[in-house]
Amino acid sequence: MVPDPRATARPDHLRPLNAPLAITVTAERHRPLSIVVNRHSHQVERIQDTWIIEDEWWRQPIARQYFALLLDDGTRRTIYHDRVADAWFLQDY
Amino acid sequence: MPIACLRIPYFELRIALLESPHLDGHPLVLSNPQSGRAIVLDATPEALEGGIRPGMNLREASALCPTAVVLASDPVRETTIGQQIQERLEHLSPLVEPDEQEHGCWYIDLTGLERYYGTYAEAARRLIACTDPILRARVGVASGKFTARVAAGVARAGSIRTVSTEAAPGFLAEAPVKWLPLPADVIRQLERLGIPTLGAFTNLPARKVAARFGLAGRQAWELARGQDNRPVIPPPRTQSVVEELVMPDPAVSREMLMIGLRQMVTRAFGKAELRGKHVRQVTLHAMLEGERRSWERTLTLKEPCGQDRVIDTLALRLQAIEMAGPIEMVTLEFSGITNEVARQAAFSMMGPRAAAPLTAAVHQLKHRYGLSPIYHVMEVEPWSRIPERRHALITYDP
Repeated sequence: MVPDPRATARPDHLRPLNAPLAITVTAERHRPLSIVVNRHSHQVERIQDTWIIEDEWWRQPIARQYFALLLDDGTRRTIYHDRVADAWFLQDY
Repeated sequence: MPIACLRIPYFELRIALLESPHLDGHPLVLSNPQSGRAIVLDATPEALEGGIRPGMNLREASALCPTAVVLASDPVRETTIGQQIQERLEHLSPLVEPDEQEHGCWYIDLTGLERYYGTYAEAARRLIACTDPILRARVGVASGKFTARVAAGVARAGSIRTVSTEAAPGFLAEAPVKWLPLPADVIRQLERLGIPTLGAFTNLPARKVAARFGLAGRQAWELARGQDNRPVIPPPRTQSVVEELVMPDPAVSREMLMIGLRQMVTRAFGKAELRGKHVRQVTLHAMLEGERRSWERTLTLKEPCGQDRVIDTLALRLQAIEMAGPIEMVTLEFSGITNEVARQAAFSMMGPRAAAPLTAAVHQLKHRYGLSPIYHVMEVEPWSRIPERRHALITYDP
């Protein structure tokens, strides 16, 4: 356990953790069919779960549809579709 | 892909009946009379008719049904007989999988067996022949594991219920929701909601089931519709080393038991199979003096351990074990055998008393690079629904 340094936190000393990573997704009716991660294309074997987050509509709206995917190589990935920007991102939930 | 499900309902009680077959047909109750609070763990239909329910206090159960016979569970015998049945089934088919959720339930892939036995029904009959008639085994045959289990559930003792692929949706629709692989409280919830059958359950929209009962509910919904492509996966073969000791005098204290265990562990690690090896799991079976009673504990170690650490762990865990009686015989089974492994020690500089070297290192790095390249994880909004807002890395700058 790292002891608390008691130093004042400064915004420029903060680094985001688990930031979304933009990825390329082939989708049909907003359901992912294949994704490209690290330049490797993977077919979506199964959508194991999906959920929607809508928040902060009063300032900068956030609207995401998350998909927990099982890929053809057996790995599990969580991606989301940003419904505001109409873009796809990879992010652990 | 025809799959058979061999079920022995009330498995623990049926095993106890092997010793006392004259009790067959009586209201039987499985309990733990040695423990401080004896409750009904299981009960046969005859006992259930008398008003007895699992979870009920044993005294209350005796008052409700005075003719009920209370039998104690014998876990060592249950495991042994379970393994014997599994081995006999494996002589018939190479693909045999015990059900993880239910004792006394196995799935058997029958693919190809019709060439040996003429029909699948004949192969299923041979499955029943693998068990003692007093165990009252029954078999369900269908194209999926779930349908086969439901079929075995409705089959009479010693009989086979075959459900064809075409008949499966209609058969499942009539079955009660208790067969769904969901926790008991969810099943009760479904019944209270007026959903008594799988047919009524599958009439609900899939997304509503998923919203209410989560992923497990959604998977159960698919199974109830007969969408079940799960293959029969045999359990992995694990090498194990077994050491047995008959106590010269029945052990009545933990200290006496520990002396015996220490001797057994030393002997086991002296064998060629365990020399220079570590183990991940130790199962302790103890046979008690007098009537056929036993208990067993499985100790899963945090990391592979050698002889000394296994002895230390056994001594530590035994402190919490309540000895149900004098122990006549002990068996230790060592499994998860691996090569000797190095232990990953904690990063010494991260200890609370060792902050000084870390502070000095950070000062040096700052001097060299102008900023501290060491970060620690900090909770920012751990409750946030937006994942990237929950934690952040912050410069460690003492």
